[in-house]
Amino acid sequence: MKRFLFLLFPVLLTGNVFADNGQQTGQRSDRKIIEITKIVKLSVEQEKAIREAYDRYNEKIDSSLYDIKDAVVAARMKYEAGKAFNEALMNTLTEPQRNRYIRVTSTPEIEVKAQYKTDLLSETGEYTDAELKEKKTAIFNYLMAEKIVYVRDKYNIKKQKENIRRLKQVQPVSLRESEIREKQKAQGRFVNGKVRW
Amino acid sequence: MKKIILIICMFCAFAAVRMQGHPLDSISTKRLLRIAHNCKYGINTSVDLEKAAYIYKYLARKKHIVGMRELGLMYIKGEGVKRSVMSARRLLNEAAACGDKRAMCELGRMYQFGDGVGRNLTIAYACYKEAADRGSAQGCYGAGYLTYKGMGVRQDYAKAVELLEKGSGKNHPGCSFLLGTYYAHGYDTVPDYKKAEKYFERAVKNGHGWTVDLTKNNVLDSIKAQNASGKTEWKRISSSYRSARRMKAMCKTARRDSIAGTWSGKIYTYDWSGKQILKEEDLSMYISLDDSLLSVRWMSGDDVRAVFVSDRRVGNSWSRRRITDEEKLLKWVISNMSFEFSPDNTMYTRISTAKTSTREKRKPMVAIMKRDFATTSIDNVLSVDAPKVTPMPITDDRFTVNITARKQCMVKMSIYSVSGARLADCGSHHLSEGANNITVNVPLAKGQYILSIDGEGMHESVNIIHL
Repeated sequence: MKRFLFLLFPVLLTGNVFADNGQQTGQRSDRKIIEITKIVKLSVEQEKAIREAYDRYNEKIDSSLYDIKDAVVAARMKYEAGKAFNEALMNTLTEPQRNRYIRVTSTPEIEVKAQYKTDLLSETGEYTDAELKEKKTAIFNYLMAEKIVYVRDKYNIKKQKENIRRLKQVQPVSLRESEIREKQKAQGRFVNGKVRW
Repeated sequence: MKKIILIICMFCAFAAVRMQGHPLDSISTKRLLRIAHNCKYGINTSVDLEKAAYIYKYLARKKHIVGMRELGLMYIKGEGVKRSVMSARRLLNEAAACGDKRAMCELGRMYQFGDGVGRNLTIAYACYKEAADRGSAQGCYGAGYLTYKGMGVRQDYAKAVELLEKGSGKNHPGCSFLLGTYYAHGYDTVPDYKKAEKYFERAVKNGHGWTVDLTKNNVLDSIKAQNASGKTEWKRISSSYRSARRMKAMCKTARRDSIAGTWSGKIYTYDWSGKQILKEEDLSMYISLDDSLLSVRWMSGDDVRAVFVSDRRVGNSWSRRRITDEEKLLKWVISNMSFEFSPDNTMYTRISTAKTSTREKRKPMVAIMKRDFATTSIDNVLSVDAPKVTPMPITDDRFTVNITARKQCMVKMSIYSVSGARLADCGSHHLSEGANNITVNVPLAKGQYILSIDGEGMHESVNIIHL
């Protein structure tokens, strides 16, 4: 009996560990799916594909964390995992779904950026509130369009750069002005809202 | 009977296909334009130039002005379609004929820079002017800019300012910037810094990036300092230059000695209308003239400022066909030079420089040079006569320099690239009085070089072509 219990103990222990891992993996992908479905509706196939991709991603991340001793190799592995998941997610979502997902998740960050750019314009004191609001909207929309490119093509640098280069051609004038003011401010030539020519 | 039924069926099928029409027919033009625009610039979608071109082609077939213009622009750049300047010009012409201002401006740009068409500044000006008359800000800028610089139309600041102010009122950044520059320099009038600042400020508002460089480099301050130093002796210089131009150009009947040699003096950069000097600089110039090949090196101290090698001469004016990559690194890229002489043997050299990327001409320059007797071959007893390289063109690393010396002397020979970079030192050689043959052995790649011979108070240079 003792021998039986002695043999059973490791088996139970191992089983428990596997069960934990499975539960954790499930919980992780559940959380991801909840996060995504709050923003866009997913079909069964899409949900399955995202779950699988996210599980693979977590597996790789765990391996890089616990199994790999070399920090450089671990970092590379983490990068590859992130790349694979991002590509899988972006390819699984349709274009409108993808845009909506990126828009919603990036809105707080872009709002802060747009506000910063608009503040630079408001420092000149030459624009009314209505004008500033209009300019902020234009800046927000442009920065969001850029953000969509950055997130979508996060790991395809060539495509990202090409897309951003083309996007710059439709950059709003207000953003260009804001960037000029920012540079002049850094030069110390923008004092009390006026440029020292 | 069967045959008749078959024919009827085929007819019905054909009619059904015809009635079905183009797949884009069901989408409104406004929406199509938005989709094409988004695909072209990658707004909320990946850049898809083929799709954008497909939509514009569909619209162009329907003679939609924007469709024709945008497709024309895509043909110019070869975006989503095979590059075809002919198709681009046809489409832009059609759009312009329908009154599209942007198409007119684009045609103006093509003619201004010779993009796919022969460069013709007169047509460029006409296109811009037409667009400007129809209220296009870009048209105002194009026409104003050409008038400002006197390209394709008579130089006239007053007219240019009128056009540029119209464009500036329509929030064109280039118009505001150019007006700022005009008022800061006060080319045609007294400098007005308040107005200059006003227009620079407007240029910032319209997003003109160069305004950052203005503040970074304190450009306005340096212009003020330059203006404060007073308008230099331009009147005297321009009148003597004009009188020299009236004289028979020496180049037409030039003996070799007349132009070759070392010259030193000042080079003046002046404004577009030629009314005031903007900058002056001390320079020396080494000229060699072999048969019909002129080579000139401009030096400021030991620095090479520009090199000009030309075999194209019309009257007293020399021009060049192409500019080498090496030359682009130098301060000036000279596209044209002409020489005039006054009775006191002063040489007036009119120089046209251009931007290498756009072939756009820069502010004109005139050099007023005196022969440098201390270092020139003329009337110098120690000098050498007509050095010649044989064989010419050289095909080997070995060649012979034939020099006739008037007196025993030591000379040092070096080989320079056409951009003025010293490539090889051929050593010092003793010349005896009379004819001397010096064999030089220097490994050279195929190309054009200048053999420089320097001796006791003299300088000579010979062009070498290695095939």
